[in-house]
Amino acid sequence: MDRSFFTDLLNDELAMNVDDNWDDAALFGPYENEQALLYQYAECLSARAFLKMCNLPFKIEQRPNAEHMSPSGEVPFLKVGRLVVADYLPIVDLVAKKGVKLSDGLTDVEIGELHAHICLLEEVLKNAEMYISWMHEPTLRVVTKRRYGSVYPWPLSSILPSLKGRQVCNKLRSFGWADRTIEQVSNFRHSLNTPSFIFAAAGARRS
Amino acid sequence: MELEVFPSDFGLPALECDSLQFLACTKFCAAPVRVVSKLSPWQSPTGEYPVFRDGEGAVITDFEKFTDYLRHNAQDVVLDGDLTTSEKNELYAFSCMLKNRLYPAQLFALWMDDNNFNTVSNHWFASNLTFPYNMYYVQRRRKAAIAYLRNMHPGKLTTDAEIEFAVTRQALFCINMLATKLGDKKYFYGDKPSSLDALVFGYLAPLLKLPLPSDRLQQHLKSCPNLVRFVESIISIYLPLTDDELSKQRRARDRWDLRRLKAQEAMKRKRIRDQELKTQEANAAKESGEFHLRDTILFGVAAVTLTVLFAVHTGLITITRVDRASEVDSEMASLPAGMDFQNAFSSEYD
Repeated sequence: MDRSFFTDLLNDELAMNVDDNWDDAALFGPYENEQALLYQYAECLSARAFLKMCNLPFKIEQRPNAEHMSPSGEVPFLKVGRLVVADYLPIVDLVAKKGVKLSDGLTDVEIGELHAHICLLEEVLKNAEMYISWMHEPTLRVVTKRRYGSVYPWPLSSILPSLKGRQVCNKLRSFGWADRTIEQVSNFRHSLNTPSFIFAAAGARRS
Repeated sequence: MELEVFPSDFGLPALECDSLQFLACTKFCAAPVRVVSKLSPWQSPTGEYPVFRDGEGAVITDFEKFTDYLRHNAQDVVLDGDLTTSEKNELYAFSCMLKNRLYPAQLFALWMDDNNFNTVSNHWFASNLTFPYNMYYVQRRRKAAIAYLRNMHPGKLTTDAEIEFAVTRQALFCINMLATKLGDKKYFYGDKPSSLDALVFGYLAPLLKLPLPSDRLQQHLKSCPNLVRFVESIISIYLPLTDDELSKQRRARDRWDLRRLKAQEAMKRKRIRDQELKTQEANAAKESGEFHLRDTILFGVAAVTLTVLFAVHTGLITITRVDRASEVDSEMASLPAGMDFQNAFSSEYD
């Protein structure tokens, strides 16, 4: 099992090296102004910013069903040639494998710190955004359900948000976020209020 | 002030990650806390250890709250007191990374991986807790762990193998990063241990010490000498075991190693069997060329029959039954009138 695990790992690492050209790349996401939720919007924005910083040409495709088109159910996802990669970190990985790295000048220790900050954002900010979107009752009623259901016709527009809501709530519950209050959740700002940290976080997003 | 944890075993001062982290923190800042080994987690508000009781009614089970409490209650050594603000922020980021990468890995290793669960976690809790409660406790922990792991990427990771791959991979990278971050230093931030050291120690020590049969992470961890040295030095400096515990655990160690060996052999056998099964299946698929033809024919026949039956049933094809007798009658009727039938027949038979 061990050998096959490491061959799998290696294959996975090398899988995207097959072709080196970067042609008709497209970044798929939901309608940003009408449909995307807080955290989806953030992910789309950071992926877009990252690709721009790498000077890679790509076009933005906004689809109402982007979430269901994505191989992992996460938005945004990037399509390059025949490759489809979803989620922010895998996109950064893919770009790195194509030979473009923004973190080239960093030492190993700095790369570790950078990953730590990315994890911080995922663990704290993303979960907080999910909490606010799906577990804070007024936001859920007024914003999330409307935005999420806005692209579907009538019966679906009320069924799909409930299904998605249940999934997200399950996730937050098993992560121990469910019994927090909105004040506790919005308290994460205390860890983000030093300028040096914001700078580091911005750098991390930049990867 | 009391800290309740599961008792020491396997050369660890306490059994689980969180308990080890709490213990390490109290020792780092030399807090006068009495450590109590207990086997009755139902008395804790969360149903889990560790539980910290300060004797004035405050009960703490959360790591961050616990470190806050230690900082604010005038210990001789203030935890993380020497760190600069940016170092504190970095520490917070690293603690998130540990939670994000190593916590799922240890959950998987102890509770979801069938071999490890049967050999170590299930056996340990089953033999240490009292009878009817132990079954409930173990199953509850396992269920919670599996729910956590499945909910990490809903929709994306569906099978256990996929979850294992993703979780182990993240953990391997995380361990590598920690190894580079630690380098040759004694602790992560200078000469004094911080709360990050307690966290890392808590996550790594069980992975290193438990006799786990699926030992991929353990092997990898053992190949990072600075992390091994880090864990060992924290145990020997801050959380040394008593001689009694050591000799008892050494005796038990052989039994556990035997269990591990057996489980590993069973795993090997199962792997070989699976491989054989797979090759057999592949061979069977290769040989079954002629069966394909037979299957096709059978399928064709069945399909045609069903189609015809359906067509007949819905009236697309109608079958009208024509009687021999009535046919003869009509033939007779069509004969020219006035002809003598008797004669006609008799003349034929003559």
